[in-house]
Amino acid sequence: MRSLIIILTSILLQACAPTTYPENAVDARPLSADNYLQLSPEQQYRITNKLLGTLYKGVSVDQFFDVNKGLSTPSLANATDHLQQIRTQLVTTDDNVTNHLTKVQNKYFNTESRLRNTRAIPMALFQELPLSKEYYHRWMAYTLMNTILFSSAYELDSVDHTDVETIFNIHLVEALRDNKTISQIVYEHMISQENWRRFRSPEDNTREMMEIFLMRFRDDEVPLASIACKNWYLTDDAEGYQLRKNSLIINTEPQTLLDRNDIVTCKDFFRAVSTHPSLIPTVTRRLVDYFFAGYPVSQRNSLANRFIASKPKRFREIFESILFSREYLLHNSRTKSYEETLYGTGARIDWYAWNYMFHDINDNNPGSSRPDLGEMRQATMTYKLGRNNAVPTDSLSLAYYHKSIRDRLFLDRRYSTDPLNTSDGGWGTSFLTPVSGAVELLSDEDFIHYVMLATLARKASSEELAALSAIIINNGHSNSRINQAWLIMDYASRLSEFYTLPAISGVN
Amino acid sequence: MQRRDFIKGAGLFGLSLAGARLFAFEKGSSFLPDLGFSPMGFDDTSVAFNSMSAAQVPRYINVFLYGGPSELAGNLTNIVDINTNSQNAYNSSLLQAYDAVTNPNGQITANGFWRSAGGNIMEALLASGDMSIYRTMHRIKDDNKGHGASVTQNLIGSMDTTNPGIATTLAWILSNNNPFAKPVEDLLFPFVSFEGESSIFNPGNVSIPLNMKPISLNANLQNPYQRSNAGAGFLYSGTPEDLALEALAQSTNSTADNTRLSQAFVKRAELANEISAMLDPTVINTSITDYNLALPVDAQISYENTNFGNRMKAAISLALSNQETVFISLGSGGLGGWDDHAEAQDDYPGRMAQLMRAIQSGIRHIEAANSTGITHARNIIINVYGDFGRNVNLNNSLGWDHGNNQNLYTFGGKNIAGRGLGKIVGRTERIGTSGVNRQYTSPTADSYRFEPYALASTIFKHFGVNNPQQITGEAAIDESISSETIV
Repeated sequence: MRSLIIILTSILLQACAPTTYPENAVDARPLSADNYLQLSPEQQYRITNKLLGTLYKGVSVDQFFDVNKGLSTPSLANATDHLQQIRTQLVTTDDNVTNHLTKVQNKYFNTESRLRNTRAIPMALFQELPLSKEYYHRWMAYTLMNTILFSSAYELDSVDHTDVETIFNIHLVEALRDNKTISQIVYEHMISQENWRRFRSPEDNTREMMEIFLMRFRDDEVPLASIACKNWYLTDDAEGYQLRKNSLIINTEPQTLLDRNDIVTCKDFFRAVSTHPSLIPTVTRRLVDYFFAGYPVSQRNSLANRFIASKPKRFREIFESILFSREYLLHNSRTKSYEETLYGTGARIDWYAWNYMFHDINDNNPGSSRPDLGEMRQATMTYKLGRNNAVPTDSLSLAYYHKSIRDRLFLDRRYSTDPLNTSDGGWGTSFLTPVSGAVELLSDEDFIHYVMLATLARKASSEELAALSAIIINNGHSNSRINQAWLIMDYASRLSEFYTLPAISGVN
Repeated sequence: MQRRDFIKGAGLFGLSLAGARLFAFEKGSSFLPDLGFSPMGFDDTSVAFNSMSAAQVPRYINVFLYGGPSELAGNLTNIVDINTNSQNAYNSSLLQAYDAVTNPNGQITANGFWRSAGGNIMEALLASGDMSIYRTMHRIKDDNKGHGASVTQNLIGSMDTTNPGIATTLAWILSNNNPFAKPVEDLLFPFVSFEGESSIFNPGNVSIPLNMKPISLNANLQNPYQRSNAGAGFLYSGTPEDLALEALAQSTNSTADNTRLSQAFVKRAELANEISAMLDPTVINTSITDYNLALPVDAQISYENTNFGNRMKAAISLALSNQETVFISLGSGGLGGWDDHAEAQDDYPGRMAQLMRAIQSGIRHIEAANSTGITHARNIIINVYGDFGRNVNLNNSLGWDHGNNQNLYTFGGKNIAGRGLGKIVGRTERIGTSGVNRQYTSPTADSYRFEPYALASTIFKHFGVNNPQQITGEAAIDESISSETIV
């Protein structure tokens, strides 16, 4: 009897004991449906848009809340586990994908020269394709190509637009579609011409493969690996940067490196990298470093270890561990990338991209009035070792980032109502008068909350309400919801929180 | 396939900056928290200072060649031996001495520079006492040959990559040894970057006063800090709505969690006001035109419209116009720039020559300004170096893989005491097995040599630190060392 009491007491205490973590602990567990549904409507909205924003999507205020009930205390339109909905969408086939792709080509890439802008193509796809399995493959591919793992290194003179296209479409999108493992994808990428156009000699390539995919910084192994790869070489510009294998100088002596002594050929080397026990932990760690930029090393280690413990074999497993984790959804407050800010907010304000938008943003044309990603130091698929894990926030990069968002997303209005007019970008009156019909009827105060929720994913504070109301009234904008929207959007664009993933306070 | 011309460098690669812990900054004290250890990475209580006047303050322009530049532009003294043992042959002109009459195609200049890789300019700057070259910046400690580690270590001045960057340490030095007539918190833009973020500004674990943090400027002298209306006229810079929104935003930002971003917005507002005055392209171009009126035609200031040219013009102009700017970072963008694993003889010489032409114009600009009474012009020092040197064997992609020994090119700074200009320092020899890739130069047994961290020590010494080895572990470069024979 006494034993039973002790056991029962113990069980009760465990059930009741609060979950406590030592300092610097991180929570890698997935956010459960129960936890999500227990959050307030505003918190659910923030988390849903945090996740969708990471996926370059968003859900608008009038879709998420019952706007008819006002917005001073937002209430849900439907009590739904939106996170599960997103999970489902990510595995659901888009039966209409071919039509979507055709529309994208017709709108943005209807000339040969525009089609050559292969860095702009994924960006246009994110704007136009709905969330689906096919979308998700492209999003994963794009994300991977902006990390050190699969960057196409477009900045190099040995790399051109076809390499970007090949890595994106063949090495990644098709491979993900075919459910290939991380090991398979990495191997096929490493032996490719595109990879050798990035790292262009045996020493360079072998060193970087070990460092990038295994975090193995052993200079002593580099000459040995390059012996195995001695017959692989890249031709010069005149011969078109072709990857060639010289059949007259092949290696026949086994080399000892990567914890084995049987590496003879270059493919042996790449196979050894792609099957090395450090591959999955390294790839996981690279993605953790990217999504949790700014976290202390110890916390990133802890997160990576927990994700690795689930023994992922495919990229989507790692991505989903990260994106649906409590740590990411509740606590992560890193700076957002340009894409996360543009697409996430754009979806919430029904923003329309004009047909040159994604060419413009990639045009490497410094000094124009429209900053490009390069000026923000967030050029896509460009840098030899990928983008910085942390979004650059030096004064100049931020000035360009802010200017582009303010000018292109917030202050640019689409005036045309002709669906065939693809030259006029911006947000239109559909943001102010969505189909629900309720936004037009909002009070002045609730309208401020509406625009704040659409931009910052939160309501206005009482101080902001007072100040913004005063600015509106004192400057004669009381009768213009367009002007009011502009003012509030401009205000949002000047806040550091707008460029930051929201952490949800008061939730453990 | 067409080779593309990169007008603009693409920036840094994969460098993450350590986050800064926040501590209060007490005016008049150092900005180090009392933790029981020093977050600077050295015993800050042991650093000794020589007081200095404002007239003695150097202005550093740090040109970091990301990717690891070959040394050969500045050192062809071993080229015959190198070529004999290389897997692939060098161009024959590279093995021949230049003579304007008998061999104008020869590439080896009188003092062993690569003529078409800027060597002719190096000869001129050496002769005029505006340059020294140290041919033996050589790693013994942690010869890792990896970009990430080497870049960070060289820009931090330490093997410990968690330490603050050189510029951050410099900020600490200034806060303890302030030569200016005003508090350091009131200095205007003391640290500037024309390359965005860089490890040289890594905060480490130190809290830096906002004004001592670097600002990033555009080398094309544009001002992206002014707000346009973009369709909403009432939101143009300076309208009542703009001013009211800005005040509200700054108030909201002051309580935000993302301090780094919030501070960037504060900086942004400052820059919007100051930058037009400081770096007006019309004013700069006019002053250069005026200087050129007094210069011979073949010695004019002429910055090319290239990455290097634009950045050097902006940096020199800023250093001349704002005496409170003490450190400018001018990395030559993009890892693709100097990481010559392939086709090296095609790409490297032209790039190096472009860099040297930019520096030559910079030196002419400095001297012209000095001649008109801008006395701090000759306090401007330009240093050029990179992650590491490269192998001297031409690999089967006709490039050079990662090596070690590299040159330090240093220019200007004639006002700085102890400046040893007009010298060639260091002797090298080829080492490695013939016909094998890993062949590179190394200092000869009797040659002067120093670790890359000694450069940081030298910078600190110039700012009045008596014992910079306390900071980096390395003595400063011995600028009094004898030169090799100059032809």
